[in-house]
Amino acid sequence: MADAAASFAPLLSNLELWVGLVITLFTFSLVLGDNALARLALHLVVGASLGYATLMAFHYVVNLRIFIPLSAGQSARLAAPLILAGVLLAAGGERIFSQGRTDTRDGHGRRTLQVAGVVPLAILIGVGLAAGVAGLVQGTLVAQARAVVTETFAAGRVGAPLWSGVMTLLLTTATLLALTLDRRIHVEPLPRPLRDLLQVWLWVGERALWIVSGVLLARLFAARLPLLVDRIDAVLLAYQTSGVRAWIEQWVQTWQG
Amino acid sequence: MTPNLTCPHCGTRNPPGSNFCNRCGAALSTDLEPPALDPAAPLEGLSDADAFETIEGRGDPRTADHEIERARDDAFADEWFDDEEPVLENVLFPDEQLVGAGYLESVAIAGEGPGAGAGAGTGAGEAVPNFARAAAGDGDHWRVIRTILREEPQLAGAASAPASNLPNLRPLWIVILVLLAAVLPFVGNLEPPPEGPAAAPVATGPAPVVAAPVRAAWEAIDSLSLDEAVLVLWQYDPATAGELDLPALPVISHMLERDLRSQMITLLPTGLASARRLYAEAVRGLDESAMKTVTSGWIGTGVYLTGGATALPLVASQAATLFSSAPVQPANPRLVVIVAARTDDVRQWLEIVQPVDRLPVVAVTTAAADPTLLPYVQSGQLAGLVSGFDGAAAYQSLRDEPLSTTAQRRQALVTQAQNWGALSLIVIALVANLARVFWRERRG
Repeated sequence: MADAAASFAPLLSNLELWVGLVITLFTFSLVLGDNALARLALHLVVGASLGYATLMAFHYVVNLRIFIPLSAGQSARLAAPLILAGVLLAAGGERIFSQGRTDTRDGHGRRTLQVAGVVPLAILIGVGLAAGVAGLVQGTLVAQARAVVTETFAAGRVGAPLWSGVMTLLLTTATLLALTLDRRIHVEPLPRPLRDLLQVWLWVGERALWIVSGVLLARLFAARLPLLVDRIDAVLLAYQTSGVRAWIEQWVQTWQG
Repeated sequence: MTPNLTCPHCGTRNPPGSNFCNRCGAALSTDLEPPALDPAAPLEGLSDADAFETIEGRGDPRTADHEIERARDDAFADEWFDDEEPVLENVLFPDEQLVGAGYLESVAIAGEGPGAGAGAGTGAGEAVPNFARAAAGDGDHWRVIRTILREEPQLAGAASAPASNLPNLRPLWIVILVLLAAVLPFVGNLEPPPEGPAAAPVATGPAPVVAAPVRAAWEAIDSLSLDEAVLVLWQYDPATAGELDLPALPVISHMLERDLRSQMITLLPTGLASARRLYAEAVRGLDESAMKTVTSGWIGTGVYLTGGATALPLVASQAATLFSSAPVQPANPRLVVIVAARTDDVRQWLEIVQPVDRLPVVAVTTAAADPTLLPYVQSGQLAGLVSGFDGAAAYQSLRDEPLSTTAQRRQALVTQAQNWGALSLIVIALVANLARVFWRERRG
């Protein structure tokens, strides 16, 4: 028994790698069509990820930010967040558990719960949107525009920096126009000189979008290929150095007699 | 024999006299069934109808829906619009059920539009005048109708892609090229490296070119005094570890060498586990003299914040309170290091947190995120940027301490693979453009 366990030692020493390889191959078998092994792998990955996320949420949120402060007597500070969280949980739970039920009586309590559930949801979405939009303006739009203008029209700028700045302005505006204007609706009704100018601008913007898409795709591909190579290398290296190769050769020799 | 007007293939009801379904082109009359074709026979020389039957009979998964649809369309158009036998003429005028049925619907929608040919109407709707003129022998309109029916139905006003006669790039060739690019780096490189924690740098060709953003990142970390605090936003998990472990390793090792105290924040559930694993790997790669000081570099506890980017305003305004439960009360950070797989994670920090805390930010990202973050380097919002395996190799070349032999070999391999990837893309672009040029010439 001990000998049998010892003979599997090379496999056990890199167990996570081999399990990962098997699950990867199971998932990859989706290329050949839907099958039980691929589904098993997907269930394992999704289940493990969700389980771990739940554990982390409990540890870092429920325990650390609710239970411990409550036990320390800080209930007053937590009252408002707890009430809002409770209402949101109740309203969400009601919506989830009422799905598919034939009993659709729309009682007063249910309506009140639904309306009350909107409040924490609105706070969540509103805060998220406000932070995102305000951040976009102050961190990207204003900052980037100021940087480009400063870089382009700074005193004494000539040659390459000026050219680079002008190109940035031209391409940025052209790309924005290409993404927002429709030739037929917005451009064609315009008088001739303005229409021609916008046509050229849109033409530039469309080409800029093509080139940028190509560059991003190329960079993505160049980044993902080493990933594949790295994984293959890790498996080959483990095969050679962990004793699995010797273990397989030994088993083959034993089997051949 | 009376034909069955309900299509056996798609169930569409067709006008009286129809021999083929208006929607899918399937034969409605068994009298018109073509003789059985050999599924293995080549398509060249066959009519469109026979080619369609042959493709369908093969059951070959490589014959994609598009090919079947195309052959079906061609078969339908050939049968219906054969100049010598205008079957359409028989069904255009007998009653008004025709308009809006099946493929003819596309004529009404995407044809010359309502009102076209007004005055020649027959009471069968707006599309009929075209057919009336066509049936009357107008050759140009036959061609228009044939063209329309050969294309996918389009909504009026929708942008239509120009018809292309170029050859398709076969997926098989793409797969072969990618596999070739994945295997080539292993040629002559299969031997395992000798054991040892660290060694002199492995010869991997010329020294990497250190880009200005990488040098700026190194200087931002190296300029900090020993024992100062760094706020680290750790935004990658095991799913992207393959891409970010190598770029992050030299940066984290450098921080540990400088004995900088990391205050870890993550918005991902598995972020802290990934951080601990990489910090442990960095510690293993350092020599003993460095290891005496790194014990204080990792504060031992990080913070996982739920809510994604919504939690970032909290970080901006109350970063110190996040670490109130840490065993060592953290000092005010002097630098932010963002290790993130996505551009958005860096961008959101620069948009939401940096305008408030005003701390310089160094980003460590994947190569794919590089192009979209460079403008932030140029605007001064990012103090430094280390991206991709080439960025990691450049950063490593600035450090005094070499990586372990295994890490060096891994870095050399993936850098080589990245070069192969770039080369294979150049080959694909070159071949595709040459094919386009020569294909055009061949077609006159």
